[in-house]
Amino acid sequence: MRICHYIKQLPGWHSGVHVKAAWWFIFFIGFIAIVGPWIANEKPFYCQLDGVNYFPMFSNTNEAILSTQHPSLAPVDWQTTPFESIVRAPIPYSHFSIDLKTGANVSPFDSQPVSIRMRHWLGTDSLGRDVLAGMIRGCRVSLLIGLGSMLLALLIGVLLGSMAAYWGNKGKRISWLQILLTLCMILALVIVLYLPTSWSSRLIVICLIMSLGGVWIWIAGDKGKKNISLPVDQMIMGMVSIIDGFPAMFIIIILVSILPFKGWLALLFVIALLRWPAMARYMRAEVFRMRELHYIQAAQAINLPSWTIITRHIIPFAFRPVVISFIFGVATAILAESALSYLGIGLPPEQMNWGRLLAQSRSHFESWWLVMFPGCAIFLTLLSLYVIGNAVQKEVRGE
Amino acid sequence: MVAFWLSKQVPGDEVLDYLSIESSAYNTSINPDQQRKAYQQVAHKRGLDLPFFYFSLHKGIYPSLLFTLFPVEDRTAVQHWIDESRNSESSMELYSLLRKSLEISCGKELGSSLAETSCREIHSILLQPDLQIVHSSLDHLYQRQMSNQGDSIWIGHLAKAKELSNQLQSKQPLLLSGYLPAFTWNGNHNQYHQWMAGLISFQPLSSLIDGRNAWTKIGEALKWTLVLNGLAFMLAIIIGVLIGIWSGVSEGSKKEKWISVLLFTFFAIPSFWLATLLIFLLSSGEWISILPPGGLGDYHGTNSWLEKWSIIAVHLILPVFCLAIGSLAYISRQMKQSILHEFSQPYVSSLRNLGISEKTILRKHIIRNALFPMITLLGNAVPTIISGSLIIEVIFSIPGMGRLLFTSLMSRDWPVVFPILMLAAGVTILSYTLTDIIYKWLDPRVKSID
Repeated sequence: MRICHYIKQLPGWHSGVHVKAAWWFIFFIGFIAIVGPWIANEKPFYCQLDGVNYFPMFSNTNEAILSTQHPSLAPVDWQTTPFESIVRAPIPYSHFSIDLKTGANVSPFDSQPVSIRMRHWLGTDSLGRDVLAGMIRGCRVSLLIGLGSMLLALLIGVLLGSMAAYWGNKGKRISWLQILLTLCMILALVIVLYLPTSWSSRLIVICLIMSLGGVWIWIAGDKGKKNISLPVDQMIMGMVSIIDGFPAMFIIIILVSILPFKGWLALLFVIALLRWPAMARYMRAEVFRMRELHYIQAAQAINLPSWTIITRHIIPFAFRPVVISFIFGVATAILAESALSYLGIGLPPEQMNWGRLLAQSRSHFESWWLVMFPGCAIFLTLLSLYVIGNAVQKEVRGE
Repeated sequence: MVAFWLSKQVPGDEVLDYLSIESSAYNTSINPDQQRKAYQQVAHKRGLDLPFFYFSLHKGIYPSLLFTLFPVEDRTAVQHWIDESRNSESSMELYSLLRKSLEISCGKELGSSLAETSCREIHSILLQPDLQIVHSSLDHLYQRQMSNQGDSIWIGHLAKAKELSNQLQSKQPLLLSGYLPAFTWNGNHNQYHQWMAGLISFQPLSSLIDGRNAWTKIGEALKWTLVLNGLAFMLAIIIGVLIGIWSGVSEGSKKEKWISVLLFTFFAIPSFWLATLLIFLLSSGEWISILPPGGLGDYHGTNSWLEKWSIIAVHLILPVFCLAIGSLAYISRQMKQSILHEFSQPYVSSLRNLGISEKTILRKHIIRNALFPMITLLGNAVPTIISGSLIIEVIFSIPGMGRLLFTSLMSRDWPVVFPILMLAAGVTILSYTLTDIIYKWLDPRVKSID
């Protein structure tokens, strides 16, 4: 099968049983993250009430709607109302559903006043929410933020790093006409920004100016007799140094508290903003090395446009060292996100998260299940990511 | 600059925050005029009524005096008036008339209920951005004053205000100067300049919680952070280097393999989880309770220096352990790699051929050369001395910089947050330059890259 063929080519698959275990673990976590809402949900897959079939998990049907449609059985409750036939999800609790019957802080080994089907296999937290459902949700959130922020950082970092290295300090030549046109465009934008008209008309004018200006600048590229070189490398490395100078943890906390839009998207952007310099550095070092290769010089000799060279010939082959940084970056992002949730900032407090489950254990020291399970989950995820990263590092060094 | 911009993006009105600690009159009096006066006073004292930066750009139709209007809610109302009517002089005049009438009406003794209601009505007019409502309320007020024969100056003000608001309802044609943005140069009288000057000369900034000087708070916290992180740092370096050398030398033996697996595990454990586990196991009374769970202990009662430090040391064991473990693992791995790299260099085999013992080779040559990458590592790690222990400090309730930042952020104590940020950033930059210099001094092979 093709999939088996691709899996066997994963880095480190054959170097040892521990790397294989790490990859399996990551696949497992990814699988849980993707099918999470279908595994652990208080809405059943299918239920039948008074002869009418419903598929609550796939539609908007919830308890309130069912109550209005079957007033004789109101109030409808997924747990107690006698449905004619019902197919529940494997874990019949959502990550936010509070189970009042079982109560809070129940250990997995206690006797729970619910049936075996509805048993809390990992206990409940301090509000009565099921820990297993919370851990599944935590998988989703951690992987989402870890992968998402690093992908964004990868995008920015790879582009900027390859630009910085390919053009160096003397490579990119721009003509005076281009500089003039850029200044004019900026001036026009500033004037438009302060016009006393409404926002929508200003937005339209801004888009117009930017597109026109962009086209003019691009056309004016090879005209003009005097050329000067744009120090791309210095500019980009300057940006990298500025961002490097920020103490990471402090900045994340401050930005997450201050920014007007909160939620996981803000956290994603902040982490990506702090991590792209690392990617850019690796990419830049790699592209410096690749610049001297013969086939790149041949492509330059036949006058291929620089952008084509970068995107088609350099970037696809410079990925290995960047992948190392990517993997370690994902691990750091997951760690940072868990740490922030542990401290109480980061994501909103209703959303269950590995870090938040751990934080609840601070006030209830006797609930060992709140300490062990989320902590082990974070630990194993980080461990497998580091093992995989190590394997990739060994491969790159061995090449 | 970034820190300054961030401090201005903070939600909430800065002057309101300062008012709550400085002038109790603001909170106790419901008189809008007195409130405004107190507001302006505090704003002027704090220098917050200055423009933000060295130069400012604003819309052409706003007069540059617009930004001296305080409080901010009034200013947004006047901005709306100007936006709708394109007539800046009349709007400003309307505003000043309304302020004067507010002063007159609220300055009277609050005995007459008429004055009270007019006072409040004018206050609400001042906040009202919609010109039609302004006009109708002014109309209403004027009628009532005329019928009650109030103060003649006041009635004159009101009449003029009514006319102006009528005039403002019709849009004026716009001159060309209205279309261009206006640029004013503010010189040194701006907030950024004052802020930077204040930072450099360590002017006292009072914290919003208890009014103490923010710098003293930071100084106290810095002391503890340096103690904690310094101990952890030194421990991690010493033990890490030793373990690294030992692993490099005895590479391949079974014991070494197990130790490296153990170290790798330590590297991957999240520090807050380890901290929680250790607190749970060792100090919460569930299993054993030998180490204290947090804080620094009650050391004020003792007199002798030794006793005090022994109490503190006992409290510091767990946090230092948690901090040092991760760095220890990392340092020992790096050290092992660089020692292995050194062993494969040709000069080692030539030294062996000369008959020099393994131990001397190790001591005199390899360790020195293997320490070079360590120096860059250490240089990168210096900024984390200040900022790296945030989580551990919060968990163990040690009053250090990380915890100070966290509590200030939670209680929105901005004058403390931003100097911490600036301090950390400054230390980072300083340490990077220092590392470069030291590296160049120690290793003559390094040439500066052009």
